[in-house]
Amino acid sequence: MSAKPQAGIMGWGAYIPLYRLRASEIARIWGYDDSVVKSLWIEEKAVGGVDEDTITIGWEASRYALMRAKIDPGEVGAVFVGTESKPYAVKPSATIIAEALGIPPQKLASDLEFACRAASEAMRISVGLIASGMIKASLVIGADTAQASPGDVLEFTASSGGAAFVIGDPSNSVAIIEDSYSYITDTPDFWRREGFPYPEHGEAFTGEPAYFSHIMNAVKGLLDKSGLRISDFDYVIFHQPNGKFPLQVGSKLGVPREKILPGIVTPYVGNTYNGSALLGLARVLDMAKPGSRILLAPFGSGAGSDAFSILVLDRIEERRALAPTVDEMIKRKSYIPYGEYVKVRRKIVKA
Amino acid sequence: MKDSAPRIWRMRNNLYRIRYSKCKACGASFYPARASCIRCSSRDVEVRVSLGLGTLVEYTVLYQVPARMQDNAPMVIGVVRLDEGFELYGVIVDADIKDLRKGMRVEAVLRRLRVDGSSGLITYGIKFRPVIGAAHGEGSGRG
Ligand SMILES: [Zn+2]
Repeated sequence: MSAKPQAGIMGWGAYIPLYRLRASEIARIWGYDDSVVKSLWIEEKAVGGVDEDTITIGWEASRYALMRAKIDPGEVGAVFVGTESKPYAVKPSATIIAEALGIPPQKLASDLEFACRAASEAMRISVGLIASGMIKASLVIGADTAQASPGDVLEFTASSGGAAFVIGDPSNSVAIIEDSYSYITDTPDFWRREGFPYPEHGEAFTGEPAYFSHIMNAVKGLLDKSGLRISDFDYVIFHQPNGKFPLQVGSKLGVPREKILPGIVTPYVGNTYNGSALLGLARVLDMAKPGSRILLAPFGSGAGSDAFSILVLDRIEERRALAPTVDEMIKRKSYIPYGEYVKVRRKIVKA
Repeated sequence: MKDSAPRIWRMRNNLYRIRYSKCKACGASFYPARASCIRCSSRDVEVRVSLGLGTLVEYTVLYQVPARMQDNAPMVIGVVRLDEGFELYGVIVDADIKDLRKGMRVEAVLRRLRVDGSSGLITYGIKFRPVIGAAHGEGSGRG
């Protein structure tokens, strides 16, 4: 190993809203052929309720992460919210979540934006803050109520949900963050201009030069830096804009499917953007045995990817039952029709 | 109507968390928090924050709601008995009306209470929803 363990994951929490919209319902409304749905591998997506947003979703995931971390909110020295769906354009989500969780004023708090990988960068920032001794623990939240223009192919996947992690002292953690690596360029694959409700994307451009290139460079960089090989990992989790992309990038990197499938959640809940790969990590932490090694590689448009090597510790067994699992949240669901979806996601413009 | 920033700011501690009083003399818990015990009048009480787990005692469904809450209709208003031993009124969300039943386990969650148009403040506060998962929320001191 190139780096000594400097920080760990003390607790993890997930939140998936109750409501679901079937991909077949979207296809029916907009006249898509079923083959489009099949090519994406998306069955249904989670839809936040009328009173839910990134702040409420982040709060729910954080509360469960703090329960598992078993620390007093007063020990949290930083709160970072990675999101691209801030309820306020100006006014941090992090301050509201922190105040509602009872985290005292002596802290760092901000919202980070880098499409789907802002929360992933917050994890690397947190490792640095903890290793330097500046703070004892950091709360990292990845949450979104992802926007998609009605009828856009993005609408099949853009969903609501999130995950949160307490990063802190490795000696009181459920998993060690052994090493990490980032790879970032200026790539215009997906964007949303200030004041516009829906993003634009570079169609086929979103694949090769963006998602695949950045994730592969980040993973290869991590392997070179750490001396680890793909065969050293028991679970591999990639950003998952749909069900197919993570399997395709895995096959390019020589990762067996069975190491990727446990971390795949998008076909059942949609792409929760900043929550996407991190919900996959939460699901793997729900099941991984002590001693397992996890490769995590989120991706954000614009574009960048981070790769993390995470080693699961014995302590994980006693923390698991302290909060609901990702699977319990996937199973908890209530289907809504397209009409209710456009109402609760505030797509109806009233006079 | 504009929601007042000073008012929301002053109320935030009571909006975001369920703060109740526990009497150290007779053991009574009561809500909202106050300086003397409602049962024995002792002033030896401390303010605590509820873990937010409880049981639905009663509920009613409101189909006619104020115009600004139209998006939330129908609204379920319930009496919740918190595990710490006191009751309060709250909005129940994420439950199909036909699945509601007295005695169901609920937990306190942060939700949007009010939204002031498209440019004003969003007020967040506590509502209740059914607990998630089989093991969670049995009142066994989780959290
Ligand atoms: Zn008393």
